[in-house]
This record gives sequence, structure tokens and C-alpha cells, in this order.
Amino acid sequence: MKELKSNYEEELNALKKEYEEFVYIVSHDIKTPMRAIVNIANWIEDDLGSNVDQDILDNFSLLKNRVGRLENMMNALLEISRINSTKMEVYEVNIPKLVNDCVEMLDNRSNVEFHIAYHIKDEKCITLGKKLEKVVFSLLDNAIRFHDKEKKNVTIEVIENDIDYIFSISDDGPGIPEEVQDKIFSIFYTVNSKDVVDTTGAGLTISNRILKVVGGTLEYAPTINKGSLFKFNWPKTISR
Amino acid sequence: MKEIPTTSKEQDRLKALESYSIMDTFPESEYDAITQLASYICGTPIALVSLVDKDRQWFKSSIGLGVEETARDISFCQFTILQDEVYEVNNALENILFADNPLVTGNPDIRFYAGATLKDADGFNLGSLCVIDTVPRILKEEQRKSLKILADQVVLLLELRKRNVDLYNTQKEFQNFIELSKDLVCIANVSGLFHKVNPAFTAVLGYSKEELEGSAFVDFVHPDDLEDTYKEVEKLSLGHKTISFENRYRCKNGEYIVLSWNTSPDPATGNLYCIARDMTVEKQRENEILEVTADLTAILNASEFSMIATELDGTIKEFNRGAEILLGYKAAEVVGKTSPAIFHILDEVIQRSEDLTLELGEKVEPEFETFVIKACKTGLADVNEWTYVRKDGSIFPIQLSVTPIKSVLGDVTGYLGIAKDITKEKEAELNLINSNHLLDESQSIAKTGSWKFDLVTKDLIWSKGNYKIFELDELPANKLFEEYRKLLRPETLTRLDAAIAKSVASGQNFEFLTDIEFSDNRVKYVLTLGQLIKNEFGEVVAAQGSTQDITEKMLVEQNLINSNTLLDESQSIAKIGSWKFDLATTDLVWSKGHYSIFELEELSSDKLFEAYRARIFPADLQILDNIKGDKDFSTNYRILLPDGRIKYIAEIGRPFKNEQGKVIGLKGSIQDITEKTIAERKIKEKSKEVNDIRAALDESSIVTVTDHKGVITFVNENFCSISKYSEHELIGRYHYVDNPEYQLNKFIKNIWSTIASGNVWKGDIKNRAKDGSYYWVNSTIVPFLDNKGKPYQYIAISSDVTDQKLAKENLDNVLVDLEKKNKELDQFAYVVSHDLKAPLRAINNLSEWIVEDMPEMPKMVSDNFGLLRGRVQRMENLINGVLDYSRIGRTEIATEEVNVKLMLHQIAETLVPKNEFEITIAENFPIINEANILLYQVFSNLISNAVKYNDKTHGIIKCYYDSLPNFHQFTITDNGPGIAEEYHLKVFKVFQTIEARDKKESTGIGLSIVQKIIEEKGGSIKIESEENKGASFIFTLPK
Repeated sequence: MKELKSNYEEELNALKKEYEEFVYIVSHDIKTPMRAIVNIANWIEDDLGSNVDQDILDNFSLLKNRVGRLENMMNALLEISRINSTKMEVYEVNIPKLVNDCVEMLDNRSNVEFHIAYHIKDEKCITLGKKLEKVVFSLLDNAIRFHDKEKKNVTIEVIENDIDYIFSISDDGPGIPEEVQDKIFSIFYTVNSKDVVDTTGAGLTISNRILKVVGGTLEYAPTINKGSLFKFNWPKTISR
Repeated sequence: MKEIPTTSKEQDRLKALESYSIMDTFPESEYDAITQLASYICGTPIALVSLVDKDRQWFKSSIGLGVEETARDISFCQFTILQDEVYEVNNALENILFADNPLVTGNPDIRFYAGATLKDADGFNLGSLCVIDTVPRILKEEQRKSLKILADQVVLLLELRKRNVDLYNTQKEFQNFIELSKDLVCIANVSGLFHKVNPAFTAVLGYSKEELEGSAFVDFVHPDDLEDTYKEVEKLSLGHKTISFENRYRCKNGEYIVLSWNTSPDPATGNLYCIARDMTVEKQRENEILEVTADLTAILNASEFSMIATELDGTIKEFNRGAEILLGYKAAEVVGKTSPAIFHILDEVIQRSEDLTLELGEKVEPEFETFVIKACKTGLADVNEWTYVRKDGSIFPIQLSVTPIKSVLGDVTGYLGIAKDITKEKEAELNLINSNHLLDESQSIAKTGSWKFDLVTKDLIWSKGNYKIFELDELPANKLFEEYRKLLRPETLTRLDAAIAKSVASGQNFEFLTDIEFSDNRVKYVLTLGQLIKNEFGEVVAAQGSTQDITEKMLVEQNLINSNTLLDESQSIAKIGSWKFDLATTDLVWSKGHYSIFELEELSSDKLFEAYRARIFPADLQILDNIKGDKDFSTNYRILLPDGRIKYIAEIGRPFKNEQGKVIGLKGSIQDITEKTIAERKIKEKSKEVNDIRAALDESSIVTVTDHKGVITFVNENFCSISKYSEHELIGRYHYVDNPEYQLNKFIKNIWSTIASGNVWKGDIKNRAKDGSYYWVNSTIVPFLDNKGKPYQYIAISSDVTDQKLAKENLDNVLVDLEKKNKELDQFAYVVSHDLKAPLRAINNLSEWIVEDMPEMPKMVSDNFGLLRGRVQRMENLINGVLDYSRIGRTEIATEEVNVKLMLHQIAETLVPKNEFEITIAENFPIINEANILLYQVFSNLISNAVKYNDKTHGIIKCYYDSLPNFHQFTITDNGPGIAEEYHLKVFKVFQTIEARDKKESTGIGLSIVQKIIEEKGGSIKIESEENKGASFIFTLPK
């Protein structure tokens, strides 16, 4: 029985390793031809100059866009493969400041009104700051990026309890259709075609994996006005 | 301390001193005046009134000396009181008694002392009046006399004081007495007002002292008694005393009580000194006595009671009205003339005298003595029932109570007989008896009937019940008797007639049991009870009674008798034998049963003993030899039969004696207890076996026993330790009842239905321990069946399988995890490949379109597009490849011919920067059959590592090939920093990089993949390197 069990455990570990390897291979080995494609596209652009038909220019910019997208996806994979190995520094984070920094970093925040509320005793927390920043930023970025209205409201709420900081980030955007809610954490998944909103579809995957690493969970729930609410708990002590 | 000189009366003197209560009182001017005078007369600075106590002298008054007392043993006065005159010390220093006295040698430096004794009326010297000086002197005669006079004055003062104290005490006692008196004590003044009242007034009348004092005492007198009271007061005013004057006084609660007054007037003041007593209780008692007396008189005069008082000899002294009425004699006819015997029936008197003779043990003559002897002897009333004979000869029953009349001295002077006519009572008693008969009749169970028979006319009347019993149709009374007799057999008729005749002769009731045979051969048993009826002349004229069908009762009795017989018979079947043994002749006699048990032919009695002993199991002969023949014995032994069988015998015996009391033999019985013994032994063995098994089970397993309802009756230690309950917490509780998971669920129902129907249940059960944790047991539950096949208890034998279960659960979890991860990985791989391919295809398509749209495209641009599509193609292949790789172990990757040299050149082209590195690829690389993508990965990883970690400005990379007997061997060498030997194995572990990660971007996974691929192919990889001298990665693949 025990032997059997350890066999299974071995297998499981092997599988986990395989997963890591897979991501590694995809992100590293395929990176080489990827770079070549990027470089060649740049050369062609230089050589073509601007005195060509608009059609061709349009097609080429489309091509460049796809190259860019591919590169982004590769980078996302690379990031996933590195979740466990990079930016693991634990340092003191001021939570409101971290949230503010994330907001500052956002593009296209001109029409966004942020509603921020803290219910925390201790603003300071010693944790994996970069990872937390990545998650908060990804969720905020999503909230704005997929927003379909001119005027956007994004609400950020942080509640502290004995063991966690609970972050709730909600918007009054289009929300996520119920039938695809279980797919949103899959890598490269986007609700709409990537041509509608340009994105790799890896943000939630990365955030979710980060939370798995720190021992928290990320959940989605629709808000009352059918917007999106992402809620995650960030443990005060990272279990590793 | 010097011994104090005292007289023999010292104790009395001290008591006398104490009686003055003077010690330690405050100074008083009377005494001070005397001391002042003494000091003046004698010309001394100091004068004292000194009272000599047991250990001290205390100064009631002192002049010129600042102290209140001194010790007696240094005092001068201790000597003064030993004599009656003035005691004078002229110069203390010259007196041997005082020369060393501290009062002389020190303060107050006494030189001169003169003291006059204080002698009281009883002659006790209490102390002295003394004068003291610090210089020697001599008193003049006048001074001495004066001192004596003054001393007498002091004594007078003391006596006065004592009298005052005595008076005070007397008054106090008197006051207490008054206060505590239950009688009402008061002083009324001349004007008729209460002056002083004692607390009893409050207690008895309820008024407070304040309410009474100052009120007129006549205000409380009952209006009807006022007149008498005023008269009495008038008498008092004339100086007469009042004794036991009664009047009624009003209490605070409005009730009146009777007070009896004793009052005496004080002629000097006119005050009245009164004592009153509450007479209420006495009055009530008096009334009661009056009432009783009245009742008694009424009784005495009542006509129902005859009262006859006699002299000691029986002569009638008094004959009351009741006696006259009851007996018809006039008092004058009997008083002084006769004894009460004439009122009695002689037979009764004789009977009574005989009874008394027996009772008292002495001869009692049937004379007057018969009536009174018992009352005389006991001194109490003697009550008996008699019959009185009237003057006219008629008789009636009475109850006579005889009491001795005693004089004041206790001598019996006569007797009083009180008689009461009890005719009515007797009648009532008779009626009661009759109704009881009636009741009995009506209470008798069914199958009864009643009848009445006229002896003269022979008319017989039956109740319906009777007809039913005898199964006759109703008949006229004159025919029934005949018909009835026809039912009875001749001999029965004879018995019946005899019974009736006997009853008539004796006057007794009769009882007659008969069996009646009916035409259909049925038999009934009928019990007939009868009672004779007499006419007014006492002649028997008829009989009446009841009949009862007691057939069933008889049958039951018969059955009982039968079964007893059966019991007797069956008892005789028991294997029992008896014997008799003569000690003198050793003759032995056996019953047949004995022979049959011993399986011997009958033998003559002189030979039997020998044969008997020959049968005994040799080892058991000792048992028989040990039997003492002089008392009862009981023993067990074995006998050995010729065929080797053994029988077990229980024998009891007892000695029997001849007429002289000498033991001459033994007799007894034996019983074959072989079967019983064997059965017992088997049971014993079995029970031991069972116990052993049980002990073994207890030791090894978890054992619980429940009754048929599932209530736990036994748990062993193992169960307690696994369930964490104590034994006493478990006993009496339902198994599983505390386990919500199982309560009444299907699983438990299934167990119960299995075991309740008598089957064994086996399986795993999850239980909850006291602390809430769960444990698994593998249980076998065995129902124990009673002789009806119903389970009366269940025994569960279990073993702890929690570890196995948990391990299995864990394994299951791991398996689930494994499956999940597998699926996750598949999905991830699919999504990645699919999603990455989409933009790749778009790039490919777009580049084709652009080339088509631009026919005049410069050569350089179209070449680049070609290059672009080539890279896109390669990338797609790579993606497919890694996808395939990710399934290593699950899907085999197809092998193909690979030109290794070409592959290395391609890799070098894409990975190695041309201007910084020099790469040499050997010419002898073969074409091998291998999975292209895997080989690509191995080489690209190794070469990219060589590039990535190279720290030289001019990097050199060399690729070699060696063909070994069974392997291809490939070597990639660089001129980089090299790898220290300690890391040679470590670098192949996942996530191992030698330098910090931020310095060179690497997750450290590359080499582990390389190793995995090579080892899966059946090859191996190793490093040859020294630090700072470059590194060689050498790997082999099987040919």
C-alpha cells in the first residue's frame, strides 16, 4: 500500500515537473525563432519604406500586430514559468501605496473614477510585494481594458482580518457571461476575440498562479449591476 | 515577700470586709473629714483610713500620701489589725519590724506610725485609722483616745454603708419578685387610680404599663360587677382586707377575664396593695367539672341503665329507677333483702363460675362471688354479657359492668353493677349475621342454585339455577322431591337421608356432596348445603339451602392427584440405590437399584462388602477409608467396571444405633452421577475454553457485546482505548447512537437486519471516537441465539483498520490529484499550442498576401519574407514538437532520420552570435534515426548554455562526434568559466543554476530536460570540467 502510494506520489511529482518543463520549453526554446521573426519583420518594415499601397501597409501593420501579440504571449508564458523563481523578495509593503502605484501605472485611466476603501488596521505588511503588485495591477488593468462604457467606475476595497488581506476589485463594465466564467483562468483565454480587445489573455492565469503560490484564492463574481467583481485573499504569512 | 501575720479568722475577716462593698470605691467626704481631723489632732502630715485586703491595704481616705494602696506585706496596718488597741511605732528605724521597710528606708520615709483598729459589729478588724509622720514622735493620751473615737466613727460610716447596700438589695429582690410574678401586683392610690403595676398586668390584660398607671382601676371592671366592686372598696377604706374577691376585668382585646383579688389597705397612706390572679382557666375547669357532673347525674337517672349497688356480701344497697323499670321489681322489694342473683339464670352463673375457675386457677363458687370476683381482683370494671330474668319470668340480654366501690382509704366496701338492656343490639347482630349469609350466597359463583324443602309436606322448591344444575324441567313443588330422588343412586340416597337426620338431631347445618350420573354418562359433582328452619316452638319444620356444581373443581383436583402420582413414579426412575452395613459383621445389604448401578449380581450379605470394595476405583479407596463411621457423611467416588467403564457415584450415609445408643451400623444411599459429572466436566472444560478464547480475543481484538436492543453490555479495553470512552461511559448506551453518520442510516439498518435475523455480519465500519476523530474497524458481528433462535446478544469482534483506510484514502487523493494534473497539463498544452499557432498562421498568411500584392517587390524584401515564412514554419514545427514532448511517457514521438550535422548548423545559426563566438562542428556527425525535436532540444540547450554562460570576449564552442561500439557519443566543449566538480551532478537537478538568477536569466530547468531526454532514450550524460578551464558536456545515445 505504502509502496503504491509513493509510486503515485512520484508520478505526481513527475507530472508537475513535466508541466514546468513544458512551460520552460515553450517559453525558452521557441523564443529563439520568435526573436528571428520579430527582427525580420523589422527589417522588412525598414526596407519597404512608406511608398507602398495602403493595402499593403495595412496588411503589414496587421502582420506586425500579430508578431507583437505572439511575442506578448511568449512573454506571458515566460512569466508563468518564472512565477516560482523570480521576484520572490519579501519586503515591507504599504498597501494603500501599492494600490496607488498600480493605479498610477495604468494606461487609459482618463475616464476612470476610482473608489477606494480600506478597512485595515495595519497598512504595512511584509510580503511578496512584487507578486501582490502584479495581481492588483492585472485585475485593475482588466477592469479598465475590458470596460465597454465611456465613463468607467472601478471600486477597490481592502479588508484586513486576522490572517488575510481581502482585496475586492469591481467595475461597472460588461461582466463575464455565465457560460464562460469557468474558463477565464485558462491561459490565453479571452471572452471576445483578441481582435476586439488586444490582450494576451494571460493576466488572470498569472494572477491565479501567483495566488496559488502564496496560498490564497482568486474568485470571480458578478456585481449587482452585472459588472465584474474579482476578490482574492492575500495571506499575511506566505505559506511556502 | 515576708509572710503576712494573720489570725485564724482571716478568711472570715476577708468575707466581712467584702460584705461592705467598700473596696475601690470613690473617695467620700465623710471619710476624708475624719482623716483630716485625725491628722489635725495628732499633728501628723499623713492620716489614712486603711482597709486591709488579702494582699494589699487600700486607702478609703488618705491625707498627705499620694497613693491609693500599698502591698500588705510592707504595711504597718497589718500589725494594727492583729490587736484591738492603738498600735504605735515611735521610731521605725529603731523597730526591728520596720527598720528595713522600704516605706521607712525610702519614700515616704516613715518614722512614726499610730493606727486605731477599725473593728466592726461582728468583731472583725477591717483595717485602721492611722496617722503617720516622717519624724519620730509619741502620741499623747488624748490623741490616742481621739484616734480611737475617730476610728469608731469610721466603723459607723462603714456599717451605715452596709445597711444601705442591704436595703437596696432587698428592694431589688422584691422588685424582681414583683416583676417576675405571674400574679398581677399593683398599688392603687387613695383616688382609686393605678399607681404602680407589674409586667404581669401587661401580659394578662394586654395593656401597657403607661396605659394603666394613672387610670382608675374601676374603669376596667365589667359593668355587672361594678356594684360588688364598689362595696369591696368601701370595706377596704374602713381598713378591712379583701381576700379572694372576684370580678371580671376587660382586656385590651375586649374580652373579659375573671380576676381574684387579695388587697390590703395601708392605713397611713390610704394606698391599696393589691394582688390579683387570672382565674379564667380555673373558672373554665370548674365549669367543665360542673358539666361532667351534670352529665353523670343524667346518666345515673337515665332509665336504660340499671344500677344496683350491693354490700360486700351481695345484699342490695341501692336499686335505681332504671333497675326498677328493667327488672320489674320495686327498690323496696329488694334493697336489704336479697342479692342480685335472683335476676340471673342459674345455668349461666354455673357456666360462668366454671369458666372463671379455669381462668383464675382457683375454685369459684356459682354464688355472688362469680359476679364480682374479677372486678375485685383487678380493681377495674368487669364487663360481661348476661341474661336478666324479670319479675314476670321473661328474659332479656344485658351487658353488666361490675365495679368495686372503695372507701377513701381504698378498702372495698361494696360493688356497683351497671346493666344495659342489649336486646336491640343482639337483634342487630343477628340481622347482620343473616345479611352476611345472604351476601355469601349472592357472592357465590355461577353454577349455584338454592332450594327450600318442607319437611312436613315434602314440598321442594328450587331456584332456576338448581334446575339447571340437575338438568330438570320445572316441576310443581309436590312432585319435585320425588323426581330429585330419582336422580340419585340408592346408596347416595341413604347417605343423604343420614345427613339430614344428623342435622335435624344436632340442629347443625348440613353439607352433602354427591355425584350424579346423567343418561349420557356424564357425571356431575354437586355440593348441597342446608340449614334447618324451626317454627316458633323450636321444632324443625323445613330446610333450605343451596347447591353448587363443583364438577370442574373436582376435575382439577383429580388432575392434580394424577400428576403427583406421575411425579412419584418419575422420581423412582432416578438412578438411586440404598444400602445398609453392619459394623460388627461387615454384612452389607443392597437394594436392587444399588446392584444395578454397580452392575453386580445379587450376592449374600457377607460377601458383598468385598465385592463392593473390588468395584471401587483403586485410587478412590482412600476416600472411603477416610470416612468416619460415627456421623453423617457424604462423598463422591468412582467405580471401575470390568469392561473398563468408569461410573461416578455420590454416596450419603449415616450411622444407626441399637437401643443402648451404640453405633452398630451405617446405612445410606448412592446415586449414579456419571452423566451429571461428565456433563459438568464438559461444561467446565468448555467454559475454560470459552474463557481462554475470550481472553485471547480480548488481548488481540476490539470486543463489544450488546443486548438484543443494541445496548452495550460489555466492552474490552481495546475498545475503550480506540473509542477513547471509558467503560462506564459506554455500558448501557446504544452502539452507534452517537455517530450521526450512521444513525438510522441504510448502512446500520443493513447491519441490523442481517444480525437480527441471526446471520453474521462482516465489514468495515467508520466510528467516531469521543474526541470527535474517526476510526475504522473491520468488524465481525455474531448474533447469539436463544433456544427459540432469537438473538439475545451480539458480539462484535473488530480490528483497527484506520491506518489502512487512511492510507487508502490518501492514495485515492493522490490518484485524483494525479488525474487532475494530467488533465490540466493536457489542456494547458493544447491551449498553448492552439493559441500560439493562431498568430503564427496569421503572420504566414499576411506575408503571403503582401508578397502577392507586391509583384515588383525588391529582391531583398521578398527574400526577407521568405526568411520570415521559414522561421514561422520552424516555429510551428517547434511548437508541435514541444507539444509532443510534453506527452513523453504517454505518447511516443515518431523517430525519423536526422542529419545531426545539419541540425547543429541550424542551431548555431540561430543561437550563436557570429561576431563573438567561434563554433566548430566536426565533419563526422552521422545521420541517425531519432526523434528530431528531442535531439534539437538537447543540442540547443547545450549550445545555448555554452553561449549564455561564456565569460570570455572570444567564445569558442566545439562539437565532436565519437562512434562507440553501441553508442553515439556527442561532445560540446566551451571555453567558459567551467563548472566546479561539486556541481557536476547538481546541475542536472531542476531549478539548479550555479550563478544567481538575476545575473544570468535561467530557470535552471534546461539541463534537467536534457538529462531526462537522454536517459529516456537509454543514454547518459556527464560533465568534464575544471573551474576556469571550460566545460565539456558528453552524452551518449544508443545506436
